[in-house]
Amino acid sequence: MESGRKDIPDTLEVSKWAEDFADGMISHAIYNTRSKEIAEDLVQETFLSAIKNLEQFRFESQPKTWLYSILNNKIKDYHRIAFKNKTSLPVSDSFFSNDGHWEDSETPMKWEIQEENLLDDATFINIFTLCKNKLPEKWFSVIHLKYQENRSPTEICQELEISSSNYWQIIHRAKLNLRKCLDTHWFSK
Amino acid sequence: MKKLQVSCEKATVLIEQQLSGLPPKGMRQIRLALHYKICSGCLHYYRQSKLIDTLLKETPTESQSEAAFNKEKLLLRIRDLMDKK
Repeated sequence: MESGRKDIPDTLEVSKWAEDFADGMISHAIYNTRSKEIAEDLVQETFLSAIKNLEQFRFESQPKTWLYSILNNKIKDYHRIAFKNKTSLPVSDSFFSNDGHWEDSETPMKWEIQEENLLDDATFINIFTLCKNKLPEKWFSVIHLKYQENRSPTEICQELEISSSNYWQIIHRAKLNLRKCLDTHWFSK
Repeated sequence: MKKLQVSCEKATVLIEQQLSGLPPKGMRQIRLALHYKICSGCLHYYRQSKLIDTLLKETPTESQSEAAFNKEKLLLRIRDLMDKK
């Protein structure tokens, strides 16, 4: 009596995995890295790792789950390395005077908004996306993990190997820059 | 006697922590509350930062419709590697 398959997947099976799952894996990787090129590389590397370790695959588990777990590890590695290696682009850093108070031109003024309308406004969302894309790569990992992956500050600090004060500095600077960008390109227009 | 003074820069860091679910406690909370009273810029910052939080949560990183890629290249690579294995 057959008690389940024990052999390793063959070329046809792995090719079928790529046919079935690669598009979804690319979307997942783009979502996590904001780069199509990086996403494609990570998915390729995922299949290379899978092929190297086919002996570890068990037919009773789902290939999709196995491939996504490899891909998620690749994405984690990408963020850790990107965080260490990317240099910060020049962004505005002159929000406060030496005594820590708002510079006159940077003091936040009231925004006349109706939040529910804003979220449905495609032009506004496009501007916000442009503002977000202007943030330095180095900050993106932190922002993405916090807001899209809902990770706690402790988890993010561990994953990216950064201190708590560095984490708060990045969140603070990123939000200040996003606020200024929206103010300049939408609310003050 | 301890000073209650807090700069706008420090206040905005405390605001970010508060928005992230880490509300300042004790003296820091008192400092922040007082700062809201004297700095209208910080009150506007709080509201605007809250809106930005919503936007960061609600807007995806990149359109998933751009995901299509050359799968043939990947399949060729897979076949090549499997043959070598």
